[in-house]
Amino acid sequence: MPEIVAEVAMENPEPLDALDAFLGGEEGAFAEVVRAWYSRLVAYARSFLDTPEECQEAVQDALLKLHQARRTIRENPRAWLFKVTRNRCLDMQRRAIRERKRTEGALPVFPGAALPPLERLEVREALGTLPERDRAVVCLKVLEGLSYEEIAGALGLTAGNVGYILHHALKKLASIIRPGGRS
Amino acid sequence: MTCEKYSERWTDYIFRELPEETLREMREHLEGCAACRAEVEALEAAAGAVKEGLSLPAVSEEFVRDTVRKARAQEEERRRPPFWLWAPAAAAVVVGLFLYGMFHMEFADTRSRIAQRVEERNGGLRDEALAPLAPAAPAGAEAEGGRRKAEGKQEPFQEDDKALGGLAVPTADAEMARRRADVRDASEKQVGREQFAQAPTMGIAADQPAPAPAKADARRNEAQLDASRTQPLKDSGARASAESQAFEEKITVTGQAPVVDATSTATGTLQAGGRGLGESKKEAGTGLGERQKRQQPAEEALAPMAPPPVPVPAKPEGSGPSGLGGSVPPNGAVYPDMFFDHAGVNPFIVTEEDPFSTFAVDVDTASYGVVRNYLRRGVLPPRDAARVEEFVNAFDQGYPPEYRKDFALRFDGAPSPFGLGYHLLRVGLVARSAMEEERKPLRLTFVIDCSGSMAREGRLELVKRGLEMLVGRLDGRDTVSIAVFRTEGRRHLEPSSGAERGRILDAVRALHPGGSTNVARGLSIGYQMASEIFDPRAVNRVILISDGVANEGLTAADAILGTVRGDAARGIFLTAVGVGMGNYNDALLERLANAGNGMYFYIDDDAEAERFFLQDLSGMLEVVAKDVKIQVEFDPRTVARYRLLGYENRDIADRDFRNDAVDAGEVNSGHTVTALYEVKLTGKKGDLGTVRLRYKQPLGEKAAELAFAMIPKAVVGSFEKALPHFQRDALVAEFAELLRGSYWAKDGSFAAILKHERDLPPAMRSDPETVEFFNLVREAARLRPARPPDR
Repeated sequence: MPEIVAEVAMENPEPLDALDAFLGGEEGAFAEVVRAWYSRLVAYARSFLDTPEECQEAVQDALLKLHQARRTIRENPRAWLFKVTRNRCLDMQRRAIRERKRTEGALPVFPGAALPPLERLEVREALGTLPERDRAVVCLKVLEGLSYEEIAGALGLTAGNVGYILHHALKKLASIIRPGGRS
Repeated sequence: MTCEKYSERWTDYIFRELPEETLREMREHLEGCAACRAEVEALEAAAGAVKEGLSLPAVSEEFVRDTVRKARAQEEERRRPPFWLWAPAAAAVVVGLFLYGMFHMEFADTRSRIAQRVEERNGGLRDEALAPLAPAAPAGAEAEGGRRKAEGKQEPFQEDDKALGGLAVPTADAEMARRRADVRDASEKQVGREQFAQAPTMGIAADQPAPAPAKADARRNEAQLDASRTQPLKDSGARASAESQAFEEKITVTGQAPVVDATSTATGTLQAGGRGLGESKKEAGTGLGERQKRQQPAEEALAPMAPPPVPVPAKPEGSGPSGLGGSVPPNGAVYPDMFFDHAGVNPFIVTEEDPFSTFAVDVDTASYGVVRNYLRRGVLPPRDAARVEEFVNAFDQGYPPEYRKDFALRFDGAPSPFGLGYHLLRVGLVARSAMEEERKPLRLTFVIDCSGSMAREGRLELVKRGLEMLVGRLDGRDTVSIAVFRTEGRRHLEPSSGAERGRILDAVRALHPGGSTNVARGLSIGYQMASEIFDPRAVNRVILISDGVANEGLTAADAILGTVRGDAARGIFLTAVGVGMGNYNDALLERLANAGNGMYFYIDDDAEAERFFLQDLSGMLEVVAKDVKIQVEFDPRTVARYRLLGYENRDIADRDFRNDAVDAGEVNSGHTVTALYEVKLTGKKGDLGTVRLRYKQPLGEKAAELAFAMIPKAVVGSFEKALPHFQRDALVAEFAELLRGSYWAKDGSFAAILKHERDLPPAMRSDPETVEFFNLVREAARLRPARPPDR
């Protein structure tokens, strides 16, 4: 079994070529970068935002920012992209929260307190029970296979923190998912 | 059933974030331990579920195209150089010739355009008021007659001219007559740099037959003859815009692309003189450096266009020493080293003529700090160093914070303590404060390389400008400290609240290069300071700024790293910033940053510095809005005339208020922006007018507009009844105006400001900002006991 998960970790469908080419001054590669990064960034954004439209907007903003900052990015560009996407998502989330506060006068509650039957709990919702930082760590690791170090760079944590957060986040997710009997 | 052996490490194990040897040991353990196997399986299952559960949506080509298109648009927006940068000197010559021919057309066109604009806005209310002094312009009509007729504009134009003649007298009352005699001086001052811009125009004007004065002259004559109607800056904005539009039309009409292009370039230059400097916060940044940078090319571009002093037609009595067309600065003052803008002083405007006052917000406060620095050294600042709006905005306004809406607007007013019969109005803009959960406080410790090599290419100056920009974005939640290192290291600024901007800025400005580079010492002091202000709830960061050429003490990265690792583990991260190109040691900084769990950047010019200090570093601070513009529309029934205090270089043509392509200021979370107006009220009841606010979301392009009425209830009956912060603003503004040599403060004195000290409410009087302020006034009074030598 460990081998399977190792695959998850090893799997790294990084289109480094397009991104590298673009950051190396190949301006025409931008479209390719967009194609290559859309899916993963939208998937990532989905852990923060409710609607596909919002995700798309956030991702586009992040990609535009990449374009703008292409000569100045000095971090790992992949981590950078995730960081920017995340920041944008958080902005939009805040905006949504404010919007809701205005209309309902109440903060949205994550479904952590009273969980519905677990079989029906979507993974997205399970992720929703985690604090956003933890969600980000999980996504960056599981979906993107970034190293602790890279994740730490993107989120402003230490590698040690990342390991700790990831461990407890996965444990929590496991506790939610396991009773549902993942066959 | 649990197993403690590797309890917290199984996640590391499945993601292989452990040394190979440890992984092997754990794998062996796993085979014999059911509890651990169960845990690993559960963790894997969770990870697998996440991976499966979040499906990867496919990208649509439409999205790709849209994104690429937007990227290009954004690129163009950013790349477009300010037009005066590429206005070649040669073009200036062509312009001269061309303007000659175009003069009348342009003039006529502009006039009618403005008239039309006014009509549109006011339903003809100001038909009379607006028209120029100029008699009908036959030459213009001839030159452009066909076209104008075709557009049906000739009639209104002539009506304007007829209406105009009698205007000056009725609007002038006794008060105005008093101010009027010298108004030209004021207008000259006001025009400032713009005079350069107008010089060539006027040179040509001098050659024109008398009945057809050039537009600039007409404008100027108008200004000179009637105090109440002087508004060169504002007009110039409108005029310049109208002009450029005229030229745009010209392009289509004449089709003489190359030459016309050069001409419109020059028009851009004129415009730049009027308000270019105040334009884009986004592009120009808030730093003086950028401003300075922009100004120089502008002046260079203008210089060749300025002919020697020319005779000025219809020059009125008592001309100033410099004449109008010359290149001598107003009032014979010597221009300092181009460090400061020369935007002059806004004049009074008769509401009936132009009820609109439009400007870009300005959250800069640097001017006050600069002036304070001068005064503390016992030197009176150059007058253009004092910018009224930056003085006022350097002080807390006492507005209640706004948490819900993007902006709240505050308005109050009281009789002016310095202008008898006038009122002072305060229009305040309060940007939404980030809620506590929205932004973490910052604990920033800068470790700055002040070694000799930092003097190269002005590296340290660059850093200082960047820091100045950053300081403007901090507030009371934040704490900043600075350590510096040369041959040795030392504490330079003890931890200071982000609200103590003056203190931080003083420390920043005091930085100077010299000596060798002992990075290790600097860092260890920096981390010491950072640990003193460490707050687990805050963003704790040590920012090392260096050209990385360590040559003193520990010079090897590894040796320096030892200390950094330990502190990073505690949550103090290191950001390394490389400055300058050439000999800066990239590898050292990068290794330091990696060890310190941080990032590293390099900056080598103002744009990069701005990006780092404003975007990357203060990225944790929230920008509430960009391109923020304010338009105040006064009601002529209640406000006879008005004068905006400051914002001279932020002027925006009225018509551009809703032109979202016009760049304007950016406002951060929790910031306030205040504009003061001196007004003459008619005494009639009713709202004083409307304040409109237009802005864009930080990442959006769609503009939102808010409008607020200025209700008379907010204007109190006496200055003493005004809010304490309002009272202080009045004194601060007067101080700035005196230092600036504002015409409108010519009867004022530092002593008069000091007289108000004891009348301030006690809490305000003892406020540290107030105390410091009066100390500065006293210092200024000591340096210049008499009234400013205006002329």
